[in-house]
This record gives sequence, C-alpha cells and structure tokens, in this order.
Amino acid sequence: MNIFLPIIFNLIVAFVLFITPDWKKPLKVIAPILAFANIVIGVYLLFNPNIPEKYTAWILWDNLTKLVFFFIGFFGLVLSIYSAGFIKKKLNKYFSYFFLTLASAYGIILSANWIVLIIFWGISGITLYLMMQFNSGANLAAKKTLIILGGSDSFLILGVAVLYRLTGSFGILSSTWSMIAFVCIAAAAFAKAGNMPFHIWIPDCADKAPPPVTAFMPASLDKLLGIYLLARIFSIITIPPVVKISVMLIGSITIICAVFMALTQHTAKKLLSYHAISQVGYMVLGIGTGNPLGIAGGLFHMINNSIYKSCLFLGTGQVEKVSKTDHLDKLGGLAKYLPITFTSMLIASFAISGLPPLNGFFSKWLIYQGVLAATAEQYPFLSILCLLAALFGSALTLASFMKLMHALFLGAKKYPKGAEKKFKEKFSLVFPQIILALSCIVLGVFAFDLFIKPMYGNLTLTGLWHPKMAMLLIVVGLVLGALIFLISRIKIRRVKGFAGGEGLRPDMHISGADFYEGIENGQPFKFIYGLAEKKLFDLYEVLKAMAFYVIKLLRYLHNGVLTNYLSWILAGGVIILVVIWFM
Amino acid sequence: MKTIFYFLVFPGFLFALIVGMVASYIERKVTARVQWRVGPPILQPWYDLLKLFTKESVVPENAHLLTFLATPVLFMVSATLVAMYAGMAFFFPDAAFQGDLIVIVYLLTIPPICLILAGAASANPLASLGASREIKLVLSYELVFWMTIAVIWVKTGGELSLVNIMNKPPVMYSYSGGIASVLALFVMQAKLGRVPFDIAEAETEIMAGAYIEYSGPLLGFFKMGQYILLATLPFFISSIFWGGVNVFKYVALLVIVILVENTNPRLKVKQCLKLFWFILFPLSLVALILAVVGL
Repeated sequence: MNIFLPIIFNLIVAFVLFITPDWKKPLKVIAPILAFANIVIGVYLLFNPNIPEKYTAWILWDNLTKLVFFFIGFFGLVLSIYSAGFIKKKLNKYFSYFFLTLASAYGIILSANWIVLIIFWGISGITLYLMMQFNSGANLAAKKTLIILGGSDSFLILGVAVLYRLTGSFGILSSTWSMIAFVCIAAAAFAKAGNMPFHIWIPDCADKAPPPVTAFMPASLDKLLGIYLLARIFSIITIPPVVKISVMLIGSITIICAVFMALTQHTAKKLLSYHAISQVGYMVLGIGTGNPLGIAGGLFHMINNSIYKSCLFLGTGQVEKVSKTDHLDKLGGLAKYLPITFTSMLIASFAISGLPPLNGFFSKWLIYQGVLAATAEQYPFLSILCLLAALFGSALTLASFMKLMHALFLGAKKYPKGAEKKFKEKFSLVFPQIILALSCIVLGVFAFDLFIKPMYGNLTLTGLWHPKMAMLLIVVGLVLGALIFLISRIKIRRVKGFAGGEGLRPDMHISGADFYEGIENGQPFKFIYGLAEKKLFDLYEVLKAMAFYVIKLLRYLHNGVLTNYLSWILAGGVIILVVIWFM
Repeated sequence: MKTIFYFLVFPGFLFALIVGMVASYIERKVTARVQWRVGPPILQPWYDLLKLFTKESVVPENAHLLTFLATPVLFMVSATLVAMYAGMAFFFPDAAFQGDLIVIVYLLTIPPICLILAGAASANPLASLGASREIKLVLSYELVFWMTIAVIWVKTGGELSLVNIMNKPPVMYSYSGGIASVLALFVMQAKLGRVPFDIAEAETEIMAGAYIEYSGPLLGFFKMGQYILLATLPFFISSIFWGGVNVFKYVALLVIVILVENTNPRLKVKQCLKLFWFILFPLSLVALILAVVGL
C-alpha cells in the first residue's frame, strides 16, 4: 500500500465534505467513521514491513515519524467523535477543515523535503484560523493566531533557505551548524508548540475557540508538529553546548512563568491554556539536553501532554456545555452530576501533575534523568537550575489543578433539586474523555512496553522505577483497604452538613478560585502580575503598540488636507532639485 | 509474591505501621512530659485505631461519596509505598525491586493530595479552607525540598539510587550538605504537618481542616497513613543526608521533630510561604552554589 495514502485519503475526504451540503445527522456518524478508517489505514501502514525505513527522496519513515504518525490518527478519531457531539452548525465545513488539518499534519511529518513541509505547515496554520471561527466572537483571537503562526512560517522559510545554501538541497538532511538556520527553525517550532516567547496566541485561542478545536489543534496536533520539528532539527544538526543550554533555559523559563500565570487565572480554559504552554517547556527542556534520555523524555512528554491536555479541554467543554460558563467562581460541586467528566479530568490532572504511576510522571522522570545527565557535561549549575525549575514547576502545576478540580467539581456548592436534568453527560462527549483518561493510565503503567521498546529498543536508564509492579501494589493496597472497610462492617450514615454549629448556607461555599490570592497579592508577585496584566510580556501586543506608535507619527503627514499634500510635494521637489544640483 | 510480602509486611505496611505507632507513642509521651502530664500507655495508638474501626462513618449529605471514601485509603496506600521503597534500599539493597529518589519524592506528594481532595469532597467550607491551606503548605516546602535534594545530586554526581547514595560518604559532612540537611529538617516538619507548620489542620482555627468531616474507619485510614509517614520520613531523611539509618539517628530526628513541635507557635499561611520562599530558599541556593563549587 502506498505511503501517501493517508494524505490523499484525508485530502479527498476534506474536499468531498466541503462540497456536500450541511446534512447534520448523517455527518455526525460519517465523520467519526471516516476518522476510524483513517486510523485503520495508519495502523496497517505502521505494521507493514515492506516500507523501507531509510530515507527516500520524499518520505521520512523512521521511528520519530512513526510515533507522531500514529498519534495524529488517534487524536483524529477521538476528537472527531467529540466534535460530532459538540459542534452545532456548519458541520460539513468543520469536518472538511478537520480532515484537511489531518492531511497537512501527515504531510509535515512524512515529508523529507523542506518545501513540502513548509506548504503543509502553512496549511495547518490556516485550518486553525478557519476552525477557531466556529465560535462567534473569536475573530480577533483568530487573527492574532494567524499573524503569529504566519510570522513564524516566514522564519521557517528563512531557516530553510539558509540550510539550502549550506547543503545545496531541499531535502531534510544532516547539515553543518548554522546559528541562523537553527534559530529560525526553532522559532517556528516554538510558535507552533506554544513555547515562550511565541506562546501568546494560545490563551486567546483557548479562551475564544470551541473546546474541541482547542483540544485538537493547540493542545494536541500543534504540540506534536512543533516538537516534531524541534526534535528533527536536533537530529540533523549537531548542536553546540551553549545553544543546548540556551534551549534548556528557554524551556525552564517557560515552565515557571506559564505555571505562575496559570495559578491566578479565574476561568478554566485560560488556566488550562497556560498549562498548555508550561508543559511545552518540559518537552523543550528534554529535547534541549540533546542526550538520548532527555530526547526520549521530551518526545514521550509530547505524546502524554497531548493526551491529558486534550482530555482536560474536553472535560472543560462538557462543563461549559451544561453550565454555560467557565468562570471558576460561578461553578462548583459538579462532581455528582458529571461523574465521568470528573473522574477523567481528575486522572488527567494527576497525570499532568506527574503523579506516579501515570504517564506524565514517566515522561517527566525521563526528562529529569536527561537533565541530570546533562549536568555532568557542561554548565552544571545552569543545568541543575533548569532541573529545579522543572521539579518545582511540577508542584505548581499540581497546586493549580487542585484549585481547578475544587472550583469545578467539589466544594460545598449546592444546586436546587431537579438540577440532574440540566446537568447531563452526553455519550459522544464523554466517550472520548474515557479513552483519553484510560490512555493516561495505560501509557504510564506500560511505558516500557509501549514506548521505550518500540522506539529505542534498549535505553540505559539511570533511575529505578517499575510502573507495573507499583500499579499492582497500589491495587493490592486499595483492595486491602476495601477489605478492612468491609470486614469492620461499618455503616455509612449520610447527615446534613454543618459548619460553626449551624446548617450550611449557600453563601458559605468556598469556590477555590481565590486559593492563591495570598501569592497574587504578595510582593514581588504583585508587581510581576501587574506587568503581565498590562500585556508587557505579550510580544504581539508590544509589537502592535510599537506599530501603532509609528503609524500615529505617519498620520500627521497623511491627514487628508490637500494643501498639506501639495506642500509635501513641493518640498520633495525642491529637495530633489537641490540634490541634483549638487551631484 | 515476594514483592507483595515486602509491601504488606516488611518493610512495608505492617512494619512501618508498628514503628509509626511506637514513634507516635514516643511523641505523645514526650509531649506529655514537657507539659508535666503523665502521658498515655504504650498501646494507646493501637487503642485509638481499634476505637475508630468500631465506630460508624458519618458522611455529609452533599459530599462526593466515592472521592470521600477513596482518598483515605489512597493516603494510606501511598504512604505505605513510600515506606516500602525507603525500607527496601536499607534492608534489601540487593533486591531488584527498588525505587529512586525522584520516585520517592513524587510518591510523597500523593498523601497531601489525598488530603486536599478529601477536604474538597467533604462539602464543608472549613474543609475547603483546610485543603487550600494544605496545598499552599505543599507549595511552600516543595521548592526547598527539591533544592536540598539537588545538593545531594551535585555532591554524589547525579546519583538517583538510594542504595548508592547511602554507600557514598554522608552528604552532611560538608558545608553545603550541612546547610541542606538542616533545611531538610524544616521540610520534614512541614511534611509531617507538625507545629509550627500545622496550618492545614489548625485545630483551634479551622477544626482540623480537611479531616473535619471524617470519622470512624475512614479517619482510621488517615491515622494509619500518618503513623506510616511518621515512621518513614525521618528514616528517609536520615538515609539520604546522614548516610544511612540506625536507631540513634532515627530517634534523634524524632526528638527534633517533637521538641520543635512543643516549643513553637503556629505560623500563619503567609508567614510560612515567606519563610520557605524568601528565607530558606535563598539559603538553599547558597548551599547549592557551595555544592557546585565543591565545598
């Protein structure tokens, strides 16, 4: 079977859906089936030994490509199911863009030619722009996203041009070291994945775009593609140590700054979006170490992050769907009404905080070992600071998710009777979350069998961790606890809640949105948050302000008064004459 | 099968529980003597548990039942897992089933999370407050804890295995290691939730915080988990900083915990954050720099 098939298949599907009318009911069934067909084709190709692994002229088919290849299909399937349940209007256009995105993602990772890669890279940016606008009011955010991603595309083109000058071909081949090429291509990768300083489009996008779109592009596919490009660059160019440590530092700064921003957010989607940025920091840190352990960790983290982050966005989408808001101080106590959403989001938030034995822990654990190995080489102090940033960032992530879970699902908030009818989980919205939450557990427990062995065969680890055994012991412990509980034959009595000797009143509910007010208002954080509030760290806004300042100056000249223009023309003519005279 | 024995009997659940109960007895006895009381008999922790497991469990109407029931058990299980990993390195250094430093420290964050979720699921404003205080406490000490562990890594050349760390010369016999091991004592006090870092429980302010709605066997699971942690943490700190464990070192650490507990007032949440982030963190940074320089 032809390796181009996934691209062609998705392109055809995108085209056919684009010209079909908006038949909502059949499309809701057909789109997931098509996505399933896509993943079947993908799996068939993955296990087909006839495809040569070596570089051909146009196709890359090594382990890195195969890894991303599988997960593009996986996310396509999961998110098509969710989208079918979530998106209400213009389903034909939506799914057309959806499959076009899949085609472009396959194009990027399969291409062994920079020009082809750039074309598909551009397409995936445009489809995000189009898909974001399925929510009303997302136009400005979509514009910002397009400008940043489009701007980063031009960096990519420049970088490729430099590489062409060095190697004399547009193939993705190993090349000698070039600072400009590396910085340009890394900038494009950072912008796509959402690493600082090009992260600014992600919070706006997550805030305004429909949750399935956020889960599909910024939370999963864009991460896969951006980190894929970064890993590819690291595999074809030998990076000098000073650049490695700079990349590691950028990664760790991203981790800490983004997670501190996340701590103080008051809406669920913005909170998640800052975590989407901070997790990229881990991947960049891991890949920046340049040693096999770190890169393995970075890649595994890329997969894991896509899984749990899209699960979290989907859960938030479900909450928003039933309660019509994602403001944390207006929510609470939803765990009873949305049990599956609660459980899957809880698992995903454990995974993102890196609790053993889930997948987030395993990949972070690999990254830490990679960074520790890097400390033995050069810049030991800076490397260990990076390591500390990653370790402490993990605690901050945990704190921020405890706030989220408390504010959304737990706490003392009570709803009036009959709320069950309003808060109902829909199968098509819940099923993808179950798959994603289960993958968090499975990938964590069987990480050696599912990731390390197929990707690397045998990787020498410095740490000691047996996830299967640990999981078994946890299960044994839980069973033992349940047995003790049953043997003691204790009854459970439900009583009304009390606080301070009186029954609970609705105003006694503590939402959790203000958990970290003390940190927010203490110096020096207040000062820094104040600067962030003024958008001083937002490259886009800063550049916009600068551009408007220049335009304001130019406006004095272009004020539409004819006499002014005439005098400018006259003055210009005089200057030209004078210049000619003295030449 | 052997591993399950390690987990359930020695050095896991049963062993750690008994050591923890004895430690708890010592704690209460010393506290009593400090306050000129007689103190409890040696079996008092056992009586406490027995009492809890014969009482009924009262669950608030609005609480999320599954979370409310599962968190105490998970608290105990994760504490046991830490106890086992720390104990394996000491008692069975040649066994294949070991955990490394990162694993143990990450596992140590699970009990506080269980407590936070338990408080959040209790549907009680005071429990919610307790949960929010606990997570701020975790945030405070976690930074310093990782810093002290980074000092160990610099000193031992990035060693992750507990067995190898114990076989190297003790970290504390150096300037940087000395500072780090003192800072680790602060962290241990906070991790055990003892005064002056009992802000999450603060019986006189928020009536035991996250535990407020717990009773009967469910509270019993929390108690067992606490005993196990009380047995494990001094053991762990001693193994990584003091180059191994023996009865003297363990008791010395326990006595430090108890004496600090009995001679200090409780810190406010903000004070605790300030202490860890703005006083102890710079100190740990100094220790780290000293370690990198080689002192």
